[in-house]
Amino acid sequence: MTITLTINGTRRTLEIDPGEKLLDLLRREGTMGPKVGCGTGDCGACAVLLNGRAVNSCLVYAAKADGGEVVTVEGLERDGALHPVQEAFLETGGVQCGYCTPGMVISTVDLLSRNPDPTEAEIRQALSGNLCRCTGYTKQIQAVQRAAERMRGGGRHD
Amino acid sequence: MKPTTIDEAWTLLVERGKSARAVGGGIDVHLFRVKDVDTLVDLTGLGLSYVRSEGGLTIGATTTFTEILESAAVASHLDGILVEMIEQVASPLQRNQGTIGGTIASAHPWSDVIPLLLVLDAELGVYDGAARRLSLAEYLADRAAGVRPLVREVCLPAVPGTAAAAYEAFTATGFDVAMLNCAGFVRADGGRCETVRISVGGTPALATRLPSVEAELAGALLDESAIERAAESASAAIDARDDRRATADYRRTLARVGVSRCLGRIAKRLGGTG
Amino acid sequence: MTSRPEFTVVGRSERKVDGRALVTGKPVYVADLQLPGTLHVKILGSPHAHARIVRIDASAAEAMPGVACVLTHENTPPTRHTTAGQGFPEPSPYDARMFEDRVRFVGDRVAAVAAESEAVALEALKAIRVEYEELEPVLSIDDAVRDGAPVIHDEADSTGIYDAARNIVADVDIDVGDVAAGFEGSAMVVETTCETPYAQHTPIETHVVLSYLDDAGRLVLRTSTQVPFHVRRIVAQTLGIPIHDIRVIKPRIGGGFGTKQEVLLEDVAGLVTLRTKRPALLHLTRKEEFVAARTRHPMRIRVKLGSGDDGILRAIEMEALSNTGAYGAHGLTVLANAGSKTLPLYNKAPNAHFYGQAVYTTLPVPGAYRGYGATQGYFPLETAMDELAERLGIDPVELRRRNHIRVGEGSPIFEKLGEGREGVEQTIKSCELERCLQVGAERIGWAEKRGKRTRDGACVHGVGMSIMMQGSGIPLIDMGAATIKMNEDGSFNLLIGATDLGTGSDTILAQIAAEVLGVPLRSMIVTSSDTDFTPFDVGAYASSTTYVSGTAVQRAAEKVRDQILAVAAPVLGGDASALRLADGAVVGPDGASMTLADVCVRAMYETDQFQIGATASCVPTESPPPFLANFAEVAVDTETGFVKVLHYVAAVDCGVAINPVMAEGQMEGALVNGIGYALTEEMQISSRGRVRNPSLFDYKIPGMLDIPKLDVILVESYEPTGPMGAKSVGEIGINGPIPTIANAIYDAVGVRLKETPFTPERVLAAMRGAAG
Repeated sequence: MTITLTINGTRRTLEIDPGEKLLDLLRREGTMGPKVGCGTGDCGACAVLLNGRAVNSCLVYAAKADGGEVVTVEGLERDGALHPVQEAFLETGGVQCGYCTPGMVISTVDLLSRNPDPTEAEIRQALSGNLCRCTGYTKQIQAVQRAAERMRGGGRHD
Repeated sequence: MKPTTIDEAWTLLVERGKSARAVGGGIDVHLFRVKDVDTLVDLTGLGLSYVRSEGGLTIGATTTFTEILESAAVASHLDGILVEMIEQVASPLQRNQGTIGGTIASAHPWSDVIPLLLVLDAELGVYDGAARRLSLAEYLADRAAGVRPLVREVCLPAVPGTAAAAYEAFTATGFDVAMLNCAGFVRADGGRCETVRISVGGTPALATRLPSVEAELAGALLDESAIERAAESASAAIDARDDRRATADYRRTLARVGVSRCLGRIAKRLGGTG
Repeated sequence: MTSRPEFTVVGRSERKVDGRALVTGKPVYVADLQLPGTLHVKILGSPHAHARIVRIDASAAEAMPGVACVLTHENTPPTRHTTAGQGFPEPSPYDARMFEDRVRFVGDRVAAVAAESEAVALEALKAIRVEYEELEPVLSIDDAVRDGAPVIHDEADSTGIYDAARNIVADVDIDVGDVAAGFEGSAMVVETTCETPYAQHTPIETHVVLSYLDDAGRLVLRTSTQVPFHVRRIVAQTLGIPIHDIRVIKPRIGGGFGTKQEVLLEDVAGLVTLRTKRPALLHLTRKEEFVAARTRHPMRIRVKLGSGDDGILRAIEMEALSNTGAYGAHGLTVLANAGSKTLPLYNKAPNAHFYGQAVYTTLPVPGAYRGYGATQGYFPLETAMDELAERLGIDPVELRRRNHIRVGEGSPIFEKLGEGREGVEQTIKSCELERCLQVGAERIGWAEKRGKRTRDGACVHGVGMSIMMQGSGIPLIDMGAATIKMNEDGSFNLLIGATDLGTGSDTILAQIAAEVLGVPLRSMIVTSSDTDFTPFDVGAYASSTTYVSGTAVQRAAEKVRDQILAVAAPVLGGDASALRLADGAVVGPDGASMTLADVCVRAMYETDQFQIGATASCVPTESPPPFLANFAEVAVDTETGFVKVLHYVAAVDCGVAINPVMAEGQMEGALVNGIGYALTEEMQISSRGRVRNPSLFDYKIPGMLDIPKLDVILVESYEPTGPMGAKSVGEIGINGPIPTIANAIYDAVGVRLKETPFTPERVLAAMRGAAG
């Protein structure tokens, strides 16, 4: 079947297998940001924004994205400048192997777009579906707090 | 396939029988894949995403958990007990995708949603060629017997007078399914329990109400000793089994503690009758 | 402590050199490279824990459209080898074949299919007809060693097994002094036996390899590995092809933690490519990662301590039984480390005995895992110390103070027990454990909280502590090398074999080089882990990268520095010995300077031209341990047994921290993994040897909601033998949580747990048991 969707701002019309998952579609079309971690929605490494909401793209049928808008970690830069969330993760040491990072960043962007001043408890809740084995999460929480602060201070809010 | 009317959806499902499945977010049909399903009937085009608060709370079947969490009407129903429970369900990523209708239709034994909806006396608006209503308990019984109408909406009655609810789930980590969960609802009149509903789930079976325990508390003062007795009864009343997550014996302990904590919180919320 | 010099780049929390690519989702991991014509490879795993393959018929699969090749024991090399990524000759038995007519655990390799798509490959797997003769499984250590137990490795061509007929892979027996006499003469004797189960590393990226032929027809393995050079050698050995026909590249990888210190997939993908001439992608599913990758060695360890009334240890005995699964990879070395990384900590004991065996079972295969035996060993050791402290009426912190090794001291264990064979004598040259104990105790509120059992609803609070050491590389065995070459704008290429798993080694090694060369970090262009271009390095394990590879980098940088100064000397006038490097220039004593760019232009184009560059290696002669003091506060729910860690303090001496934020990050990640291992992680094995919970849904690792307040305190020392004074920090953190939390639970509710994980059910049962 054929679907049309916007991927990181570019409208695409694509042939898909009806049973195909959004993650597999994105990756075979060259969008490598979202990662394959478990295939069962347990690790969050595949998280993307679908119509503004962070979802496990390994659980979303590509067909359901028809007519929708997908944003992946690759779509967050603006004219070569990193999104404040990306910047913050780099600064605080919230990135080690980086495999969970695309999903973490997407979940963070979703959180901050709705809650610009989250408490630590709210941050932990919002990122509870993103597993990391390298960092122990502490510096990632700091990254979210730092990004939130910057974005409240007049940085980007998208 | 994405039908635009519920009748269309139902007809498709009937025609294709075992080879078709209805989907909301589509999570469970992927994770708990049944063989030979080649048609997914997407219900999200039927206008069933809504939260209405005329006379209680009515939630459309394809409303996602996040949408429910963000609803002011849900937050004010029974002091936000639904919010309290939903925040423990899966992860935010899954809550953005999963729908309340989908979760009821899947009826996973560890479901957090069903035990609470049972004690809140939920009714479902369903469709199977014609629209009808039935209680959640009836729907689950029918479902177990192989009868599966489409879920259109979940209806929670308005709560008159003094009432409170509580929910408790025991999990190994924060993002995990329950090794046991329980929910309680009490409507009180002058400190005495006029209506009591208690459910325990994940035993590992799906949640059910505990009528014997409810009967014990009917008309009683919800004080410490009543709560303790009810908790003991609940522990004995459940059919606990061993599985990967917990042993039967431990589940009985959790049932006692869980019901005790639920009733304790309810007592506090009712204004300290205990 | 030797006073630490002032550094410019070292000691700063520089951003990772690969960070931007990671945070913008660049296609830098193995599976992100898509090559046209790539075949998808799937492996057929055994349904039985132990069986002979009587007959295998792949003809239907081979005939399926879209199937390019099928591998079985009938058409692959029979070479016995070890999959363990260790230096040659590997201290692990050569007991594995690519494919065999025998399977020894549920999930063991039976066959492999390469097809046009994953779907076709999976269909083809189903079409392979296998006739098994089931053999009696061996599902526990006890079953393995009893009389009449089935012999799991009875083949004639396996080597390096201690006693195959009794399923014993390794046997280690080390004596210092006379423990029997030591215990006789002790005023107090404490004994405990602890058990740790199967656990898995769960790197978020599972094992994956992409193999292809380059334009010269050489086999290229782009693989998620910790040990590129060992992969090259072992694949060459297994497939019977020359080493020079193989190139191994490690791009960015999604975590390793030891499970990728193994040659697990590369032989299969490589052979598919060699036979079909096409690229081949083999990517384990999460379930396969649990079942057929590598795991922690489950161990049962007994520790006996004897001390005087003053708490000073007279004798330590450790007896370890290790389950090394169906194949013996890392069996001997992990076993030995349970003793070699623990016993020297308490060198005051003049008598010590370590005895251990690693035993085959027909169960999933353990391998290297952060901590590497020390994690298992510290559980009984540090809980026994806690018990000893209580029985003697001495504060646990004080008891450690009286017994732990100090600067200037050694331990006979160092030379008697190394990585399986003998070790290497050494004397401690840096140790801030004293200060670690002091700051850690203060931060947790030890004096205020210990023994108080503060109640909070149904919960009781308790605090516990433990200390440990690890090592920094394997002395006389590990080798790492680095090459630096200069560019005419004053930048440098740094070529290192060392393997960055996400640990940040590319960055810290570049920091070391930049420090010597007097340039900012951004002047270093790092290329790592490509066997064609980077010099040899054993790879990322044994906490070796900073200490061993870092020293090689420092030496190479110093050679390059000397060349630069020699080029600049005639220009600036005077002797090279009077010049130094700073801020991207050569500076003379009178202030005259020459930029590095000018130096290189001169050397590359103008006078006596030569390429400024050097290669240097390092073989360490000792393994200076990092030291760690852990303190944790827990809340135990007395109604349900749930244990919540409220606050975890880890005061660590890793020498000089080359990059403090990264050192903290290593500690935090290791601690959280350790907390998972202490509280929730356990691979459950069925009565038929099958893993019952091979998914992240059922095997619970800590998430954001589960972590306590983590306080990592870097207590720096200066290690004179280490690059810039550094030691290591990669592993030690994971050893802390089990004994620390166990001791905290005891403080709270008075029960000593001897089996991990400390699930609520176990804790509650222990409390009830104690109540009588």
